[in-house]
Amino acid sequence: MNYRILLTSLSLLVFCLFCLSLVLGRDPLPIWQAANEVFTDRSSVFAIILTEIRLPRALIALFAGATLGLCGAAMQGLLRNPLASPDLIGSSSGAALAAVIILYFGWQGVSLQMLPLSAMLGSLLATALVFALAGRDASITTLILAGVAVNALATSAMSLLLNLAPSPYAMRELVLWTMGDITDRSMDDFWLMLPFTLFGWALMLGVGKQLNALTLGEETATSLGVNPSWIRWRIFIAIAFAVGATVATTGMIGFIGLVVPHLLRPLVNYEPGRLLPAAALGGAAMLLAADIGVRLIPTDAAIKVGVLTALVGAPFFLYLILRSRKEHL
Amino acid sequence: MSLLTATGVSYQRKQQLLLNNVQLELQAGELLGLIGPNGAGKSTLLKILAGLQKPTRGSIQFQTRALHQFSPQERSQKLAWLAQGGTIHWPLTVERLVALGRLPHLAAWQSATSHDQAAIDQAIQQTGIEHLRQRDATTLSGGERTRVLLARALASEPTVLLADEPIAALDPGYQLQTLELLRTFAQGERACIVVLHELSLAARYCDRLYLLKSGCIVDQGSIAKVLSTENLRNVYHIECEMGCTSIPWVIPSRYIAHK
Amino acid sequence: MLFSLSFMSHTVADSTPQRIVSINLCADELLLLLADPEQISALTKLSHDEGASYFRTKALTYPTTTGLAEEVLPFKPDLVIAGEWGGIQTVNLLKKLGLRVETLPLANNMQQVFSNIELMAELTGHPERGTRIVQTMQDYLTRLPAVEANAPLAAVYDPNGYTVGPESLRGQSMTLAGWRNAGELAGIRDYGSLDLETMVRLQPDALIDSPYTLNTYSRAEALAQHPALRGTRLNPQIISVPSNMTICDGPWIVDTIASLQRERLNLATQRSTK
Repeated sequence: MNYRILLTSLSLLVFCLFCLSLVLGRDPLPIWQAANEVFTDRSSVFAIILTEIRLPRALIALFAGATLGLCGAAMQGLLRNPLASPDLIGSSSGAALAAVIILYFGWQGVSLQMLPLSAMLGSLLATALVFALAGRDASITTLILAGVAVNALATSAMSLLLNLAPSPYAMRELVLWTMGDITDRSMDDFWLMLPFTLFGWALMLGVGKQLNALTLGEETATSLGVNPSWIRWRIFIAIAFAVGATVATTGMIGFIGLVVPHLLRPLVNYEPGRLLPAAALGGAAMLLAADIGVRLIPTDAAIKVGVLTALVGAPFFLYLILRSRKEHL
Repeated sequence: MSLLTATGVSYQRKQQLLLNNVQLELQAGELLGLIGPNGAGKSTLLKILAGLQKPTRGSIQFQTRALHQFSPQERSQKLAWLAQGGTIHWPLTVERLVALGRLPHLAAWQSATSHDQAAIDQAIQQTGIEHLRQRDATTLSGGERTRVLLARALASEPTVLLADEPIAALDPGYQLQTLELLRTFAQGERACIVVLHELSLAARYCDRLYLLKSGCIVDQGSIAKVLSTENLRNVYHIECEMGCTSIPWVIPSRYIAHK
Repeated sequence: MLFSLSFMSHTVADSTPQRIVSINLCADELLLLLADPEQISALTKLSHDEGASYFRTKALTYPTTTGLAEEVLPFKPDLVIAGEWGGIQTVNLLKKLGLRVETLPLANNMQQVFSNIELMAELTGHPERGTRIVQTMQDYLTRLPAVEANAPLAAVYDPNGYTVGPESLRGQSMTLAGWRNAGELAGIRDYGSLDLETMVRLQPDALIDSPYTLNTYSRAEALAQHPALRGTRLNPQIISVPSNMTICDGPWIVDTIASLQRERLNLATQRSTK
């Protein structure tokens, strides 16, 4: 079956990229020696680089990428709009704002978990604000408008803090944080991100069929036993947790949630439900690949992975738009 | 036996009373026609009967239970609703689109069984869209789309089918084919309510008619009783030529200006 | 303060670090100043950059990193020195991996320059070198004349109109060199930007810029060509301070002050001859 072949090959791709991500770096890692030392001498430098630096980096890329792809596909299926993205409901900007607030006031020193936990809280608060603004039975348009308003609010608050940054160095740190980066995270960061991510994913389980039904519009979907407003809140809460945890760990990584579902949709015959697992795998592959790319591009200052995804994603998206326009002519 | 009953149903949106104290009863094996001018409240009534909207007052009963006591899944297994026009947001293949009709019978993780596939195949065959199976559903003509969506509704094997203007976009051949199909469907335990504007076809295929105007049932009962010269003049503001040769026919001949 | 210092010197005496890795440019410079050459394992890539690194020639003999944890680890450092800003994640990770990571704060005044030098001297196990250097700097500073009331006015003018106020190191060094700071008159406390309008209003006698790469675009020179200034009485002198003296703080701040003072005296002579 075609769909199974697609999922299998995507999984294989993710697996290969994951392994490459462990091997490749600015300086090559003698992988056999490192792998051997993991079992013999855990305190050796190569073993530590492999298990404490490259492994969390690859794991975070895997889970963050999968979250972005999955949430993008869910959001596009829910809104029945290929231009929707998980950023729409404020979860990314809320997380980024919270992180910038923490950095601005220098509270990151209070505890190592301070930054990711606050970012997650920011994400939930921003999403809750969107909920509160839109009301329980809000239409899609009201929701999008509420999302745009909350995003604008968060972005302007962030700009204010950048504006008031105590020094050029502080400002640089704040700006860099919003760019999306997964270097030098630790397993602790990964363990902190994991439960929230998995909770978000779990909420997405079984929404596929209902997203399929939404293809026929909300009323027909209702007549098929779907409760559109329940499914909407469920996806929103899932995004708030999963994307919140991701942004808290990596900063804002753009375009994966937008481009990956778009790219894979024809391969699953446009079925929103089948797109979910495919987009999760595709997102993971894209972020892993981008993170490998960042290490291989020889620049003095390391390029942030979020910059690379946007740099590759934006022109690609432009191409998609042009192509779809040609098709509709 | 009465399958679906509306008792004293009123529906108010903002200050407007869209339905006013509607009584309706659908018997098993019956093809019921719902007729009336544009804006009379036919679609609203159909949505309320399908459980998509809650009536402001009154209640709907399915067999012996109130409809609001049904879980969404139970309800969707018994009642199928076919939207007027109908939108398709993603370019699914026709077959996958028809398969959506099986959703009420599947648990979240269950995949389609051979019985599901049989129901899908039968619906596709009945609506004559065999040749469209692998087509992109968003590129269909209006008539093809109507039939695909009807197949979707039939695939869920409902007890009651509520069809909102299912033949509006169809050519005369498919109009007849579709109404034959609904006629065949509404037998035994099953029944169908269909919203129609073609009075000749309503007269020919329906067992009974409900005539709706400004949210009120003006008349209901046999074809001859409802399609009276007086009713048509009163509700549609038209004069009609009517007759019954081998089949009944109603041809509007003159529009009478509003007084 | 006293307690913490004595506590620190105690631990330092126990184990003088032998493989220090710096992941901050300013820490690089102070290490090159204070540590024994063999104590240093690696510096930042920027320490080899002409525009940024004051001790570039010394730095060239050491390997560099871009500051990633996986580059730092192979040196098996017994001390990692990071900056106050930048690389929070890296610092956290290195700490989790059990490395000793010390942070060099940003200096906003002369006192903090002294304390940074002393801190670095303690960390490298040579407190006496720090004390000596700080003593020399203080001696120099006490010999500086007090600022005159009608001192000439100058503004630090970096790209995007970035300027400094009295609560910054560059602001302080201007004042110590006998200039009045236009940024201060414009109400800037530490860092901020100076718009053209304010500039025209304040009429500074000099603009101090610090172009990162010499002989390229200089904001201050470009400004002097601006139609708003051409043909007016405002004809500020442009004083260039090499960027590798302004990016990080260290004893060379004294040289910066000296050169700013020289420029001020030149200006005074030019004016009296006119």
